[in-house]
Amino acid sequence: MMRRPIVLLLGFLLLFVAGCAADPVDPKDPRLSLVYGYIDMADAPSSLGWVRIKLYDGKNQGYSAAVKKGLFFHVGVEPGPYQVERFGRHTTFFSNTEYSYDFGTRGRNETAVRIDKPGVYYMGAYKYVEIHTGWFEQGKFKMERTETPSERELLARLATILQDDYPQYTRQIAMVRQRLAQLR
Amino acid sequence: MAAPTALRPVRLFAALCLFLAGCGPQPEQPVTRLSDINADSVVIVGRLELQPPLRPNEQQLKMGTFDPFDAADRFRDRGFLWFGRVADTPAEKGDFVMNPRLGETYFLRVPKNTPYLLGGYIMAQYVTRMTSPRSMTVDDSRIEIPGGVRYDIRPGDRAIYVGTLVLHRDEFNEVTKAVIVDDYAPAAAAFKQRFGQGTELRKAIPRTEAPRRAAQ
Repeated sequence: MMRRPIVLLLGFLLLFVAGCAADPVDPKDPRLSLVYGYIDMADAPSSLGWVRIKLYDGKNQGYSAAVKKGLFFHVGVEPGPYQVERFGRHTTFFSNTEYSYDFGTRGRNETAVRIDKPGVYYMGAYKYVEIHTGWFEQGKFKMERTETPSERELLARLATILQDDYPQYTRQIAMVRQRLAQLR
Repeated sequence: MAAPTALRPVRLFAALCLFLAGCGPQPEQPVTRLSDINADSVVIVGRLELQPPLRPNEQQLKMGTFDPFDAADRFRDRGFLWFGRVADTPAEKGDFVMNPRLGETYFLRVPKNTPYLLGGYIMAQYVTRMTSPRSMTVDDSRIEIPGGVRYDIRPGDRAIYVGTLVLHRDEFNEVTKAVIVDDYAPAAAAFKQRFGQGTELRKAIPRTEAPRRAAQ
């Protein structure tokens, strides 16, 4: 008689965990693009843990990009207009503070891209720059475009990451290599 | 850009209480009787339109786990317009705010000494979310309305017609063009129906100056 609640609880937990999983990207889907960019958080209060790329289709959808040392990317982006909406860092073992930063959500920002056909799309490299404010004033910052690291450097890093951690995305790896060849 | 959002419990509680108590911008209610308008104010008649219009459920408005005062209604299908005494006042530091419903003729009271339309916004997203048991964050994004318009309000005016402000936006919610259209005839008919005969609705469609961003 006592087992039923536990079975129900387990079932609920399984459903909950299944619901949390994101749809996997089909490596063979020819419609998908690779989007990437870079954010330097050296002067920010936190490191970079996540980047939200928003699809501007009126339905408030988008992608959570993978992040590796400032480089953010997503290998399965469908056609449409996109820009970085927010970025931040979740809580960590050493800090229970969650950080969330707006990348300019009042119209178009510099990261805006329109994906019309499958390919590799670069959103740019940016640096978090703090703006000095007075006492008792809310802190402010701006995102400044930076030339370092270069697009080529980031793409080379991305090629290595994909090769090592996501080797199943052969189509995306080939697209990155093709773009790298163009940048030489 | 605003600071990183990482509120502590006391600030979180205070912020929620203040917000739910209605500490956001307090807009003017539509005028129902001209006798409510004193000599220092004028009824402004006009319309605010967005092109393309907001799609169903495009606005994401979640003011909290519960919203007993329906604070979201202040943003739903509405724009905020700030007025000021001085032209170069930043929009949200304006002296007076109104929030007309998009696509509908509005009849709103404005003090005569605040003739400058400084700018404003349409809220595209305002979502409060708990990021941990002890912290919350607000995700907001806006369609910014450019200002830089002076309404020709004269001392003897009781009601003026200011036209339809049509905001053309691109796919990223950037207002790329703002034009003022003369829809006087239907607006005058609606004015008469609302307030009866006897009061003139003077046409005072402004000439737009160089548009500027609302946040500037």
